Amino acid sequence: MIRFASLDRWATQGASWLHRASPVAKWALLGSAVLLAILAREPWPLLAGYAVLVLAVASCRLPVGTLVLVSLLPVPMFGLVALSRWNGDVNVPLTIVAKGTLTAMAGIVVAATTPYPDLLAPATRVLPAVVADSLVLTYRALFLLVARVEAFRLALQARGGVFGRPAPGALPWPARGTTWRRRFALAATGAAMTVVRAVDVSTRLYDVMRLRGYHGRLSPTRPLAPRRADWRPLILALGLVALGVAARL
Amino acid sequence: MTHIMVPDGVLPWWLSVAGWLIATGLLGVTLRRLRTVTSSRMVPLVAVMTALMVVVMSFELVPIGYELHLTVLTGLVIGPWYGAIAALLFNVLRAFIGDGAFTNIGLNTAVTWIEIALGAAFWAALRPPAQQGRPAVAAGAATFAGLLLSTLVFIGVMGISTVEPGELVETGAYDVAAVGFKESPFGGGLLSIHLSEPERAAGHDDSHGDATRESAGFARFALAALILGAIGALLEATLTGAIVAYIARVRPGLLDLHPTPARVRPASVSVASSQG
Repeated sequence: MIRFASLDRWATQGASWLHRASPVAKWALLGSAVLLAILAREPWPLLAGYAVLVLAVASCRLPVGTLVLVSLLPVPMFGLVALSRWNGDVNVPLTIVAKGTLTAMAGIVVAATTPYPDLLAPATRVLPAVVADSLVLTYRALFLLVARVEAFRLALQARGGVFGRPAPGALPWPARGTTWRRRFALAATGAAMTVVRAVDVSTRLYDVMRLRGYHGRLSPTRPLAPRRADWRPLILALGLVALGVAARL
Repeated sequence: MTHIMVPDGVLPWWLSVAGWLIATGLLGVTLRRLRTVTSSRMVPLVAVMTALMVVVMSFELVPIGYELHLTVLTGLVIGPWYGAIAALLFNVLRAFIGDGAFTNIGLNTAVTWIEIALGAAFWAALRPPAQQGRPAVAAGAATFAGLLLSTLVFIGVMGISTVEPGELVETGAYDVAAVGFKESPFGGGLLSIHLSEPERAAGHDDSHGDATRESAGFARFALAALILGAIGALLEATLTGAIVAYIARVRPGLLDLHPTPARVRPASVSVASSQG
């Protein structure tokens, strides 16, 4: 499971060169990674771009291993498409996987160095009110739901609902005493309780917003002006684009 | 198969652009339909259901390459039009946590919305049996059908991606003498972005062989996607059915189900009262 709380903590508590850059500069960095993925026909420029992003992660004092792992999570999903394009040349599936991991890493780097309201500030300026407001509120709801799921999991473990720890030396799946049927029933009940709780949360959220004067439009307050710290992410973005152009020459 | 799991730069550019146009059109129709209703109360609910899809998505069933999304459940709770907004936001957020392609957000929004809308439509059709005490079966069937149909759409999109529009559109000028079309200077398309083609680069024109390999690859892909998609749809349908059964018991109004009146047993007439 992706730890949303960790992502938010890295974004809000960091003070590195990438954290200090403006959201627009980081969107440009993201756009350049996507452009590199579009332009590249071989895996090496993609892998070079990925390595550059990993170095950027390390220089920002973010957990490199965790972010690399998260960027590799979609590989099983991309793998089906990659295998289907297999034509005897290993470069083809490798290129597809590399394209996926590069843009995944770019997205995570930007999300892990930009607080969510800042990250979505450019989008909320151009989207219709109902969409922009829903986007902003999703952030709040995300953490409420994650906290709810985590509390449910802890309550289950604390009260012996699920024996999550296997016996020493045993394989992970024969968890003692808890059948798969019971696990499924617990998961379904937990998910259902989360849905009901989510609806309650949304009602409460709406009431609070009304009390604070909400009439169908949240006012964006996040500044988008360029900052002095923007030059480094912009150079990084130019470097990724140059890599893509060089790969096509 | 809620979304097209294809990285940026793999699908043809015109297909991604078409996806964005479809998503924009869908959003336009949605906003038009919602213009007459007070949408501010629904904003937090849309946000919460979107967040729920994102949280559930983070539990990945790696062995079959499937992610649960509860899209159909979202359709049951917020309906198809608010579901369009949720579909867009869900795909934007997915991309930022490294689980999707930015260029395919438009296509994925369309596919996700199809699931949400089909689920809501099937649920509406199956509401009578749900009302009669079988909500789990009705929701499970609606989910399975919705997911399976969206998987077919996904496979269709992948099939379209193998078509080169330049070959279809640019037929060249009509030659009266030869009663046919001349070879077009734009036969290869105005702009084409492909993966590595080492054989073509080396000067070997094996377009027929390439086409055959591509076709065989697509057939393998379609079969695998259909099988894995069906397994995933079955799992998600079972989970959705169980969730709906719970909600139908504790909060039936959320699913537009009317609470069934409690069965009243005829009071047993006590001897004392009958005597009194």
